[in-house]
Parts: sequence; C-alpha cells; structure tokens
Amino acid sequence: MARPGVPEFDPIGIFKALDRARVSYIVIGGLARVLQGTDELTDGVDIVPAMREENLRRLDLALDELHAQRQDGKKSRSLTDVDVLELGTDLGELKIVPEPAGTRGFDDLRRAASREYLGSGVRVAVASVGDLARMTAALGREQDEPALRMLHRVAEIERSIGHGLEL
Amino acid sequence: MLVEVVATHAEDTCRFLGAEREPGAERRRIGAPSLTQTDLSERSGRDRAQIARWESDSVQPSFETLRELVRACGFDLALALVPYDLDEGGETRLREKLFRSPENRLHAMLKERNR
Repeated sequence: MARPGVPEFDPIGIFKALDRARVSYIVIGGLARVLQGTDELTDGVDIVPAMREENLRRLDLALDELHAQRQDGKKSRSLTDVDVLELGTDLGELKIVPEPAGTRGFDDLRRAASREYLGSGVRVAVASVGDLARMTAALGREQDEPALRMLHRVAEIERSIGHGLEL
Repeated sequence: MLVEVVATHAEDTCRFLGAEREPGAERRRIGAPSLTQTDLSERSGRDRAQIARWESDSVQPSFETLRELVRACGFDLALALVPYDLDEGGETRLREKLFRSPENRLHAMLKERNR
C-alpha cells in the first residue's frame, strides 16, 4: 500500500528508465540481496554505475526522466563529492554508489555479477552473493548482521546444490 | 563442519585479502594490504592460476591452505566456537526462495511489502 505523498516503489520502472538511456550499472544493496535469494524487504534501488564520462551522461538523462531529486535538498547530482547519492524519484528511492565499501566499484563488481531477467523485458546485472557479503561486511553495521548471515547461508546452500550435496 | 564453513567463505576471504586480476590495478583495500594475484602467489608460494581459480570460486582451498594464505598476508585466522541457533522457519523460507527465479523473488518481495 502506497503512503500518501510517497511514490509507489517500482524497481522495474526504474530499471526500464536506466535501460532506455543505455546506462551500464550493477544492482547492489538490499534489492540485489533479495534477487540473490535473501528473505528481506527493501524500499529502494541501489546501483553502482560505470564511471566513464559517456555513461554518466546517460545516467543523468535517465535521472531527468525519473525526475530524480537529492533527498538532502541539494541540487547537484555530481558523483564526485559524495560517497552515496541518495535520490527520490517518481518510482521510489534510488541510491547511486560510485565505490561501495570494500570494493573498487563497477569494474571490480562486474567480474562476478550475473545478468538476471526480472520480467517485462528487463534484464539487470546483479552483484554476486560473495560481493554482496563483502560490501555488507565492510559497512560493519549491526543492523546488517541478519542480511550478512543470510548471504553466507545462501552461499552455503548454493554450494551444496552445486556439488550435489545436501547440508 | 567448522572447516567446511570457513572454506565456504574462502572466496570472500581471498577477495578481502586483496587478490586482484589486473596487475596494474589500483591497490587500495580497507583493513588489509592490497595484493595482486601475482603478489599473493609470491608471498604464499602458491601458483597464480590456482589463486585465480579460488577467486573465481571454481574450487575452494582447504582450511589449512586458507590459513597459509592468510598468514602469508600477515594475518591469522581466529577461530571460536559460538552457539548455533538454527532458525528452522527462516531456513525453510530461504531454501524455498533459492528455488525461485530472481523475477519471482522480486515479485514476491514487492507483494509482501505491499501487504
């Protein structure tokens, strides 16, 4: 149920806008964990964009389409002076993280990321379980402990399935 | 079992230690020295190709090998037994989700969220 004044969270719509502008990015954070199989709820999309100039120009076009505004009220959408750019859009929260904790950004995460089909013609690159655990652990936040435990368990179960064993 | 659990996270550990694919890559890591795969190979005496296989998760090192790698980087593994509380309900939900597609997981989460 949408709250008054808060846009309905539509991650597919956000991904479609990014894809229309041909933005290269990897999905991280809570939504990526859900896509990898953890049991949690999330309200936003977190992405790591490729930091090439052309890609950032495309990202800016997508953000215009989504009417993205910084949640701290500042106007600039530059990624050079922030660790995380937190935006409100017509379709829900969007966080842009140039270099997530514990990683070196897009090129680092791209190696192990997988492309997943989410329906409605949308296919996105999602950070691997190992990289998601690495980022979550690097944040060192107590509130992330359950998610970190689930990621480790997901990795264990996937490994047991892959090896034909039952844990 | 303890050994299996530690070995399960060997890939994360290798990455945390800073093994990188590109020799010329920027060498910055949080809380650990940054190493290329070649650096780690020289320090540990292990073949670089083997380190690459560990990093890509195609095979996992044994616990003893993992400890050697960690020590080659100037760290040690501190092991401790802690109580293990099996959340059977959570475990069942997790297993059910893993047999769904990412598309299905997303829609289930959104449905749950809107409930």
